[in-house]
Amino acid sequence: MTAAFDPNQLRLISPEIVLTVSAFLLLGLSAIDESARRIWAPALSLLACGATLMAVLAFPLRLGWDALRVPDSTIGFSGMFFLDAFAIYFKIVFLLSAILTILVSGRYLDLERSNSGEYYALVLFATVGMMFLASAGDFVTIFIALETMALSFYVLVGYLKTNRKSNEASLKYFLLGSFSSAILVYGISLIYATCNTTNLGLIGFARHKVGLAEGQEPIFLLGIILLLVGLAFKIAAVPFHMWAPDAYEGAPTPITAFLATGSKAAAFVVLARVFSFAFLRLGDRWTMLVVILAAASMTWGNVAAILQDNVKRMLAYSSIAHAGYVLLGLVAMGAGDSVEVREFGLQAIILYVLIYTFVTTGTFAMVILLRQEQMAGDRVADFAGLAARAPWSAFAMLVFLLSLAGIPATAGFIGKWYLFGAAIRAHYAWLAVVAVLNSAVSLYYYARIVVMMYMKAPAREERLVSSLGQQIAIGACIAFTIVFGIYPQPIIAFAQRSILALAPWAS
Amino acid sequence: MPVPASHILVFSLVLFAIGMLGVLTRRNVLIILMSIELMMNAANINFVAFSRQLNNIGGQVFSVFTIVVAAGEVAVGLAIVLALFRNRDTVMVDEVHIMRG
Repeated sequence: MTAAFDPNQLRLISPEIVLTVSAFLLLGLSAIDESARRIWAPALSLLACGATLMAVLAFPLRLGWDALRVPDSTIGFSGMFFLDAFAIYFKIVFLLSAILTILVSGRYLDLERSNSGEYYALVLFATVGMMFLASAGDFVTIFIALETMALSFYVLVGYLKTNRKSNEASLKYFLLGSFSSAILVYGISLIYATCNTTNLGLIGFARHKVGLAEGQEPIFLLGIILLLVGLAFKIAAVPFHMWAPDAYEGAPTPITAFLATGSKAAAFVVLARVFSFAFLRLGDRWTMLVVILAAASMTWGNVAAILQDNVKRMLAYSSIAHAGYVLLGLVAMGAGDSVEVREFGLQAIILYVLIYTFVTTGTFAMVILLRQEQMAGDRVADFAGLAARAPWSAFAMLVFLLSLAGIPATAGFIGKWYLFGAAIRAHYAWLAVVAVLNSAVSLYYYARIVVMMYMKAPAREERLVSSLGQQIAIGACIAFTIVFGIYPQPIIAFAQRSILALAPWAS
Repeated sequence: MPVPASHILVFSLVLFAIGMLGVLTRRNVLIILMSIELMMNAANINFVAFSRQLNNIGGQVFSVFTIVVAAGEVAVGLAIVLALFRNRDTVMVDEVHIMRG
């Protein structure tokens, strides 16, 4: 740990710098040129995301994936910033999620009469926060990056200023979001008080090699519990999910998609990083809590989703259930009795997050497609007769729903296969059984939409109008879902190569 | 005479509990916001006090970041409350409930 600052380290955060600068440019430009921003703002933000993606990919291309392993030369800023394959994997996921969000936003915002440059700038700022989260190696970085992301999201959720639902959604999201941040930061302060450091690697070292002073163990454990509660709010795990259905329903639909994919993935990065670097060998202490969160989220998420008539709200509960599934991977990380099982759990988490990003964005893109001039399009009944009106759109929705339910030959099946397998390998077979039963329950409410689309007469006749961006986004999501559902090896290998090197900490 | 660590912890825990109680029981958005600030400040007290106890500057740095983030949160939060008040004429959370279920 050297204290001196080396300007060369700025190279490590070059993608984040590119994205931040473009976001500010976009903000300035949209203030100057009001007429052109409808066209230019999305184009510029897509360009910025593309350039950032290039900058991220430049690291593995230049150094090779094998060099991107911690501990190695890719640690910067006194251990606060890790540029490992794990971080790069998630940066790619976040950027793809942002690109898809921007693609589906344009027409929706036009219909809501609130298309403006600031919207895209905020999306980019949120993405910057997520990218820093992926690399965070210290609680300071985690906290700041999490708040950068969250503050952008509070505004984006309430972006439709004159819409009462949007107001209400942002108020609820803001109150519970900052409440959870306060819990999180208090947990961090307790961990700092016992370990004398906020660095993730050093916390593990302080706890296991140096040992805590007498009587500090309970304080340390309280810190971990509060940290877990704070992060459980962010991933919307039951019983900390109250904000999610309201925020998802009231937010502009593209932001709902971004919230369900990007923001949730970001919280899982933190969970994976913190619990592998700092608390891995305390698995016997925290695994039980994660098991409870997982079982409660899966069960309540799926049961509550059955009762919903609003598709966005139904998908919100479905996303709560999916957070529960992903937690199975964390259970395997905590309870696995060998490094292989723990790494398998981690791999299952990151594989699922990638798959979930495409499938969920695709599903929400279909809800956005139904938003037409005369129709809000977010009720289950609005899907009536879609197969007759727009056969291809109905087919796309069918594939996304089957994938969410985890039917074989779709990408969702591969993700669930790995997660449930991880739980079984960690000797939590009963939890895997609960998960499978829950997947069966989830088929019921997904099938409701399918029945609406294919077996009901259409309530309206007019054609669905869509923009080029929407078509590209839906096309990409459907291609991903089907191609990697049938031939998943590339993404499995990609996830395999990107998991953290757990061995130095696990032994 | 230095303050013992246990006193600091008890003090910050009490402050945190008061804040949490405020968030859970109050209905006025502004008071909830203040309660959240209390919770954050409880963390700040831990950071600053243990920074001195442990002879490690990291905690004080963290508390500065927490203060900055809290200020940003209040700025965004008040803007949201303002937008809500313009549409609804209320700052009471229990009167804001179009969405249910």
